[in-house]
Amino acid sequence: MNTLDSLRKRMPQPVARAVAHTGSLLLGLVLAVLLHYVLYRLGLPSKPFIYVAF
Amino acid sequence: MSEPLPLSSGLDRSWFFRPRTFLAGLAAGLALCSAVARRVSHPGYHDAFTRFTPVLSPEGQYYPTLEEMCGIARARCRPDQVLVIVGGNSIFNGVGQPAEKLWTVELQRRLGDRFVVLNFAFRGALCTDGGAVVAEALRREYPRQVYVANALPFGQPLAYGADPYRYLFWEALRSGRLEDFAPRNERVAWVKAHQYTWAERFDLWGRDEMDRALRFRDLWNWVGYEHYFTIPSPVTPTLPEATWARKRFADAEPDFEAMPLADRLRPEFRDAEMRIVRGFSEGSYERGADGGWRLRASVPAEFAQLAKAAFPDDLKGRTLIMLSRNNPFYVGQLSADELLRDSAAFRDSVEEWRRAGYEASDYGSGYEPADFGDRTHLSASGGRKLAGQVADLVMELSRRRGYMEGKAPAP
Amino acid sequence: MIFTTYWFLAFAVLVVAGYWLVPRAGWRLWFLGLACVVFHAHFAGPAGMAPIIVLMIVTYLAGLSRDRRACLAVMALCVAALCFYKYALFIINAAFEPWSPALADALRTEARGVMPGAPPLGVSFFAFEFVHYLFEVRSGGEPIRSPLKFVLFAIFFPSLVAGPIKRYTQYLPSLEQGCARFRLDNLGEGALRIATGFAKKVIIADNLTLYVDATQPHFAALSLFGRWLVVLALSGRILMDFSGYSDIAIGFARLLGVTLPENFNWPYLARNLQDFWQRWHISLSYWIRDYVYIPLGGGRRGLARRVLNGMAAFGLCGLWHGPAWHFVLWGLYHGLGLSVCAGYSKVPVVGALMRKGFEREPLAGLALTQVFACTGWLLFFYPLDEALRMGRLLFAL
Repeated sequence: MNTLDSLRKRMPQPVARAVAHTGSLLLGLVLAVLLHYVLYRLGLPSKPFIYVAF
Repeated sequence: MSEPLPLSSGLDRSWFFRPRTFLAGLAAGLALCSAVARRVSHPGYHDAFTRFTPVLSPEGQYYPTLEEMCGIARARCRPDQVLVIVGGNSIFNGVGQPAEKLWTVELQRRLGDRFVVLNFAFRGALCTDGGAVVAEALRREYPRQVYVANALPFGQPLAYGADPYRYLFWEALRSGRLEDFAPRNERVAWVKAHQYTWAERFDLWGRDEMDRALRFRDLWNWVGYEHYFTIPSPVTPTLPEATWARKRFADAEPDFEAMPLADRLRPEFRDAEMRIVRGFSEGSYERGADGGWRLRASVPAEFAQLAKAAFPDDLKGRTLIMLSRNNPFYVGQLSADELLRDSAAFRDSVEEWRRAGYEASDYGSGYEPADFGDRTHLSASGGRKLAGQVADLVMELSRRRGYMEGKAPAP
Repeated sequence: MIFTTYWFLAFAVLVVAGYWLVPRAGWRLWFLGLACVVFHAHFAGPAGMAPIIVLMIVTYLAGLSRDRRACLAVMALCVAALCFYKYALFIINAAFEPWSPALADALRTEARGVMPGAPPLGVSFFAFEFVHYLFEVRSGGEPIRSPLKFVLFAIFFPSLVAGPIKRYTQYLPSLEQGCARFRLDNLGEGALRIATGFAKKVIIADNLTLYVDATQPHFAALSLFGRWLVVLALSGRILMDFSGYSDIAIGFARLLGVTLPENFNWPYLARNLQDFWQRWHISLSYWIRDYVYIPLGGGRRGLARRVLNGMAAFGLCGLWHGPAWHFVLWGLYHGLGLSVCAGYSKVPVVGALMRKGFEREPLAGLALTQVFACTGWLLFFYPLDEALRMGRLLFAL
């Protein structure tokens, strides 16, 4: 976090905004692929959560 | 008061995280995945397909989707050709026959270019599983089609199939790819009410609805087939095999013909196998007043109900059910009385299938022990005999249904 | 399995959307309360909602009364309920089977006739939360006066099934603050946390489970490296499974504006066993510390008593995971390890040298801790004889 904050301090404001938006977009895309895959795995038979007796 | 617990933290890097852009990326990513799935699955990507081997089956954690299987058909079969889909269980899958000696390859050779034969049988499947669903889903694209599957005498042809292959039926039903057929709808309603809890029914519905929109099964099957598989299975338990693209796996079915006959007919299995052979007819027959065998009264009625609902009426005529006889080595050890019953079971079962509107026959009569690899699965030589018999029946059925003429008949 | 069903995903999406569409904060809490009841009713199982409803009512009333004896009595009732639903057969087996198998059999038959087919949903968690609540009230804490807020504390659906075990003094302010205003940050953070949880559970944990299930039966035939790989896979599996579930719970709570306690904090980076238990299932280990270990006297009455209290606390911690002796042994294994960890530096000469050694080489402490923790999972997952067999094979003995 300190690294990110110091990185941000060195960036001009528009660049920091663009980095933030690009990073968030990429994160969203990556998570979408992950969610897509998780939905695929949910449809397959899987082991239950280990604490099934809870 | 006790010490408080450490609380979960949020994303303190708030300058870095833009929620709206993140959510937009999430939505765009899902749309992109869905689009890619549609793109890759429609035309088919199983280039060297011969059959569904264990690594391409549920036992290998690979669940071929309906669209994927339809894609195989589209890649192989032109609309002017007759599509012959083979369904059924491990016998028709060709267990014990290596790919180059597979009986459906021989069937294709005998039928010629006018036909395209696709082996969509799965180990442990019913005649209503797998290929049956695909054939029905393709009835409009390929009105000239024959569906061939094996069955056991008075085996229950469940309209909705059996686990682990029932998912294909639900997928096809939910996506509107099956005919609206009232007797089958009644059976489906019954099984949903009696074998599924409310939550399970919702999950079936939810899974299929989400898959219709997002096509996650199609995409990740394609990734697993072409590039990188992500689930270990009993068939591929170790690394790195578990991660290999499934197309890397050769069809490594052992060859029964290479096994000495004595090894195929192990004495320690004899008793168990004989119980199964007797079981083919034991439950369905009782002694009549004359001391002979007669079908129990309830059997044909129950069977007729199931057979009626198993396939829509207009598809029954293009469905060829082959009753699977056992290895004559074991059948020959039945008593004369048991043999009568066994023969009656096959005769009557074929008759009941025909009465229900299907094409039906049996195979294995006149075969040799060497035509089998065990009690039930055929060796390559048995497969060749089966192919010859089925080819004649398919040809005859195709002629009767007008497939051999220039114009395609109405579906 | 609950989080990994399409029903739950649809339910959660509807609840989160509905929650924030309700215009007023006060009404949101009612909506959430209703959703929690629907969730519990749906997943309650054969035991139904009666056990939690009864315990909720008596706990709430005992807390309101602030009567120390009433609080103590209801705490005992909660523990008794947990023992009955989860441990009755285990207790019968342990207490009667060695002396009179026939009597044990008769008692088991009787118990099965009375008990539901499965314990009430989340019994291990809500029983512990009720005990915590009454303990704090009994010690002078302010009771929850609003029945609605008590219900939301008792059956908050994200954490009901598998934790984290909440503390009411943190949970309620977070709930009240969180429901006041929708923040897009919470939506994004919650989604990220949920995604992380599902990735851990569905992708990593399930795959590791399949790998372990396929290879563990052939443990003896594996190479030494292969055996350690299985144990590492087992260790990874339980962390990913459990922390994944916790992440999903924390994520869904965050979607509702509620901050739940952290439950895992990179436990496999712990440098000693005390550190491990401040990183592993944090909400449980803190509960054990605050409501078992410290009330027993903690470390205040000499080394011997400290060891005894630690062993008792961790034996119970192990038993909480499941009604079987190998869970107890796993707990005692860690209790013993913690005692050694707390006391080794006091051994003359050798102790001081070892302490200096670990300070100079923290990786040595990390490695030792992780070997200890990872081999401990054998006791957690397998019966004693199988765990010992695998343990011997791990060290080529």
